[in-house]
Amino acid sequence: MFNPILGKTIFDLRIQIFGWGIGMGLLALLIVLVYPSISSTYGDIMKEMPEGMMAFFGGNTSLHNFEGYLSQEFFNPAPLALAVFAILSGSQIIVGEESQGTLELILVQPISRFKVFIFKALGLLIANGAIIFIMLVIFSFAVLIADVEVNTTRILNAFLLLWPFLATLSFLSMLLSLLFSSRIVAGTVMAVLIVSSFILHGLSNLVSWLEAYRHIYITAYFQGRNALTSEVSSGHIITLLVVLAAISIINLYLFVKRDIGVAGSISLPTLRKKYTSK
Amino acid sequence: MILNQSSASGKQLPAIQAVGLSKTYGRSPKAAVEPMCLEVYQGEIFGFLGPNGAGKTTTIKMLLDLIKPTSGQAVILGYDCQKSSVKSREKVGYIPGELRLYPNYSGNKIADLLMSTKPEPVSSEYVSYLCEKLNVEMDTPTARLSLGNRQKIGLVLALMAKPSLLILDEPTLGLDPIIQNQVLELLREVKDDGRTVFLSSHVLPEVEQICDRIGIIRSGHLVAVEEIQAMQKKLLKHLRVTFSESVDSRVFDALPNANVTESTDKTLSITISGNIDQVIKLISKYKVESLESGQPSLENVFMSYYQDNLKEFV
Repeated sequence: MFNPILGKTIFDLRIQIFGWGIGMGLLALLIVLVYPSISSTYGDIMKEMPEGMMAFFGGNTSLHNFEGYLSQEFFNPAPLALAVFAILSGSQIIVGEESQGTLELILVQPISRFKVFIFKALGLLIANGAIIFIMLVIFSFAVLIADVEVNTTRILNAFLLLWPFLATLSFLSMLLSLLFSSRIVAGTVMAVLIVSSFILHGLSNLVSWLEAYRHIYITAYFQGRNALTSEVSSGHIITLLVVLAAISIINLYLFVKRDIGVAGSISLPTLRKKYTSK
Repeated sequence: MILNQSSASGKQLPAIQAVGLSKTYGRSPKAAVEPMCLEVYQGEIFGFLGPNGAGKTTTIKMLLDLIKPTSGQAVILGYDCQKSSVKSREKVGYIPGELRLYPNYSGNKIADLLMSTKPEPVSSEYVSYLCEKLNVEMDTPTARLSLGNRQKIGLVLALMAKPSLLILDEPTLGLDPIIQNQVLELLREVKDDGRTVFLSSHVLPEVEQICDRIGIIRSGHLVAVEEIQAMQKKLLKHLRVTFSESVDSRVFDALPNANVTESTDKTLSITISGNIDQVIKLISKYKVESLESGQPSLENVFMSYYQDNLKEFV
């Protein structure tokens, strides 16, 4: 039976799911539809771009085919744009409801916090997946009408790899909102983290000493572009999944131990105090 | 009518038992709730009183496992509120002081969602009865409803599963007087059914009307738990006596528990703490034209715990 808490979580995110899914899907459609008219010249245009600029935007992509074009024009900005949804939904699902006062409604019922968390987390994963699915459907439609030759496996992989990346951002946002007991602070920290990560990741193709820190740039763990143009790093994907699992466990712990409706019950200052007093 | 349920030994069975229950938030040097021991018996309506910030809501949230206590333990109908919180909440219906409902959901939709978490099916006849009694709009999204109508939905949600214990934080907030009376009637029905009500309220006449016992919390300390009548007996009584002849007020002032607050030639206003017998006997020695007495209200009881200058009389 479909769990009502899971159902409610998805229902509450329905507007964002369709909004982001259709919006980003339409962007993908537009990008696909213009490809036939520029396909012959696109590679040449990109070749004329300064080397540094190319390196900043991912550098070594193969630009003479549709996958390279898609990687550059869609999968370069898409994770950054979809991160907005991930941040908002991740911070809303517990702390947002808590600050609205509606979380109590379900937590005073005879259901464990463990189950509430599992269904909410599952809802968040499904919401992220649903956006990617809607984008993929619109994209497939665009490919059909534009009559473009595509490598289906590579494109499917690219879309699918958005899922763990966005899920990790959502759960990281949830973690920060639980720690700071504030959606605004969590959202701001996440936005700074992702944008700076995106910029530093791009710069790491140009600056050798930044390259050494690539493993800390969160955007480096989105392997969708690699799926389209080169080889996917399974190490990066495994790391992302391990981080996702670890964050989920920490979120569960914080949620179970949390004083509901009391800002900062298990917060960064409290944890700091706990450890500095030892 | 069941008043208080008793065990075979005749001892009243507790619905709520708190032992040393306390809460301190974060780095605050002051506890929101100081270690508290409290027993609420099955089948009674217990009033939990205190001004804003006294620790009422924190206590209630600890009972519901929304807030983790710093120390102590609370048990609801035999189940530890923290260790067996799901089991204890199976028996509880709750309405918070600041009720927030899902704005895009109707009352019916919220009820369906909450019913899905209950171990036993909820009687639709009883839900209909509650809706009719409280005149609730269950089909309209709650965002479009007034505060009072949302509160009525909250009451239906709290009562619908016929819980053994109802924890109500300001249940009549925003309700019109007619519905307020209906709510009190419903609470009496709950009591008649042998179930328990833990009622936190600022509406003292309402508490006075339906509660068997009250507990008063002040700055996190549970300062009194007693039957309402017993509390009232301990408090000041006021008499205004008009005599047919002139009376020396000093005679009354000389009594150990009486204090003449106002006197004219033939009229005296006397405040009495404790036993009234001596005063009445002294009055009877004179020819009396009229005698007015003021019974202390719950408000007097409540205020006496908050006004230091009156504490000595309690």
